[in-house]
Amino acid sequence: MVFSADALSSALLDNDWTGFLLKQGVPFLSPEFILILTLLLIIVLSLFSVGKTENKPENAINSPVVSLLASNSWNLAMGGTVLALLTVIAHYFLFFFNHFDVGYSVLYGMFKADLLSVASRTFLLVGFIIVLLMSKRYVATFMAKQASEFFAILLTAFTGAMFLCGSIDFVSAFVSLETLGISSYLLVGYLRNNQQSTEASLKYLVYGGASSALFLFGLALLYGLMGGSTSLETLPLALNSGVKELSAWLPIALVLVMAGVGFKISAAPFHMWTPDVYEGAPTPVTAFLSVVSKLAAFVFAIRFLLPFAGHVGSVTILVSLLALLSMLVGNTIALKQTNIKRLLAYSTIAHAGYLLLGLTVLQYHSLATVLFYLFTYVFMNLGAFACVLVTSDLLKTETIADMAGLGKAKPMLVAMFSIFLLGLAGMPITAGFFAKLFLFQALVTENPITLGMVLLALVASTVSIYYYLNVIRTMVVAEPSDAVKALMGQTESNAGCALMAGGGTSSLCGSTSMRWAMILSLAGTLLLGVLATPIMTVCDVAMYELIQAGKQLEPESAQPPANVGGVTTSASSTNP
Amino acid sequence: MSVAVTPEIGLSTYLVLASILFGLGFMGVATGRHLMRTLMCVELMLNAVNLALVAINNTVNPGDLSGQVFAIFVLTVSAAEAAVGIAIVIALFKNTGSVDADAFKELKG
Repeated sequence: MVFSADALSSALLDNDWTGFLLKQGVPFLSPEFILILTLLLIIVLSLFSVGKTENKPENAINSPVVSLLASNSWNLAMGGTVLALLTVIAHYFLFFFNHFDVGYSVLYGMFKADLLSVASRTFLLVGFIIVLLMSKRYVATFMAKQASEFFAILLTAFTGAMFLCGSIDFVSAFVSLETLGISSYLLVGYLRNNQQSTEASLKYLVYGGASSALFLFGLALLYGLMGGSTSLETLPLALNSGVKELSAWLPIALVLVMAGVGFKISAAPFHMWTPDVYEGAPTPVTAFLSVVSKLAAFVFAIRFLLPFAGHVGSVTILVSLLALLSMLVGNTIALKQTNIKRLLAYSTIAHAGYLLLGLTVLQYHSLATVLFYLFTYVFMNLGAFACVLVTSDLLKTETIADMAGLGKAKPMLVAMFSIFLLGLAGMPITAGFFAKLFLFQALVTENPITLGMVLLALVASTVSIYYYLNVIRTMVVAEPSDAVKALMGQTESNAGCALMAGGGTSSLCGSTSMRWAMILSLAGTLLLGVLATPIMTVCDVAMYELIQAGKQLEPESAQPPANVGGVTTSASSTNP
Repeated sequence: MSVAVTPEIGLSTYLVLASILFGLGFMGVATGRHLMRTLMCVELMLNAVNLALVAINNTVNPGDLSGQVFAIFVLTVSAAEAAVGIAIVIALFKNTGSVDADAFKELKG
């Protein structure tokens, strides 16, 4: 952590705020600023909407604009997110036209605005837009009174995830991880009169608290090993020059940090919370956790593990163990699940296994395939959860057996659900196939050990095809269950879901926002397959630049840092 | 401002103490039945790390305060975590009338 008081005081003296902010690279944080402003606005405005419904305080502001904004927290959140997405897209142009090879260090080396963080934040924002679309009608139905707080907390959690994508300092990584974590505990327990929801929240809190303490202990030990620096960028340099007393602690520190990250990505020995939390949490929150939290934590894992590329041995063993265990546990326990949300939870664990496999080889191409896999996973998993949300709302149950014969009642819904599940299974046409193909291809040619692990992963994903197809078979082939028969009866007697939605009842499937969420996920799942080459190129460039930026810091290949447009790049601004 | 690390008490002493406290906290989280005790044990783990951070800071790089600043960040975060934790325990107590970890068996499988 480097704070240069001189820069601040000179900016104060010269009254040159714009120059100061530009020099610190603050514009690269504009999406985060927009999100934070949006959530503050929602919190402040929610104070006025409370006065509207119950006993109104006398000094309440009676402006129609304020009350209109206060009752539209969803629109505010959506507007802020779309604006943030536009600013992130604007960052691409900066990268492509100005050739900022190594990216910017922002906020005194706390945050790295490189292509990796820009690309991952783009997909995070798109995923978050889908989560918002999914949650609109759900929130209006089940938690109408606390809607604005829900979106404020959701935005807080999401801002934490956005910061985590670019964190290159222990302090910023820990704080953003905890921002994401603590808000997630609240979101999971948001249905506070529902015992399942609060119980899931408690389990998440206890496991999460313990694992973040483990993570922190690992960071503290690394801080000592690195000779009193908290920056990830100095990790490769400092690994050799640390205190001798501590060097025995390095493997322990690594294991502890990976325990914290493994918890967030639900990798196998740290996966215990996943099925319970996924089942108990409100479904939009489950979708949020399975995608946003995972993507952000994986980007941090990439950043954290990369400096160890020179000391591969222990890292490879550790990550391979996590990967193999995750694939084994996820795929075998998923086979006997009867609840669809629990099934998707175990499938998430299995996917964490495939993704971790890519981290065993710290080469730019294999890391890029991991990134591509994560991007496709955003759409497939969000789509699957959107379908679960609609199905469980129609049938009032989440049991797979009760979904039997749904294809006869809702053919379009079942068709979409099937595409998402086939995508998760890695079937051709969908992006999931290309993601698995690229990942396994990158690993097969590396060395005999990774070849063996790819073979194991292929076996594991063959097993996974069984339980995904079993859900599709139940929905399409099996005789209609009682719940489906009741649904068909409703539709025939003209009280079906499309009409009920117009009447403002609890039906989700007629909602436009829900439909958009599914269409966006479907488009992503199919288009990412078609556009695999350009997106894969972006991932490759992002990872290549990340590795180049790391190499510039090493002593033997020290190059003069490139100054672009008078603004210092990260290599020179890490340690003034 | 800082804990004095005297020559007689080396860094490893502090680290061993921090590890013991951390281990006690972890044991408490793993075996504790009362939810409030579980939350307190999580706090104990975080504070054990704070001790380690401050001790490492004073031994390894006394001129730079980043370890101590980190510890202050950890304090803030752990306060937020405690507040959320107690809120969740209260919500759970309203639903079930119990704060015993064994009483919660809705979610299994």
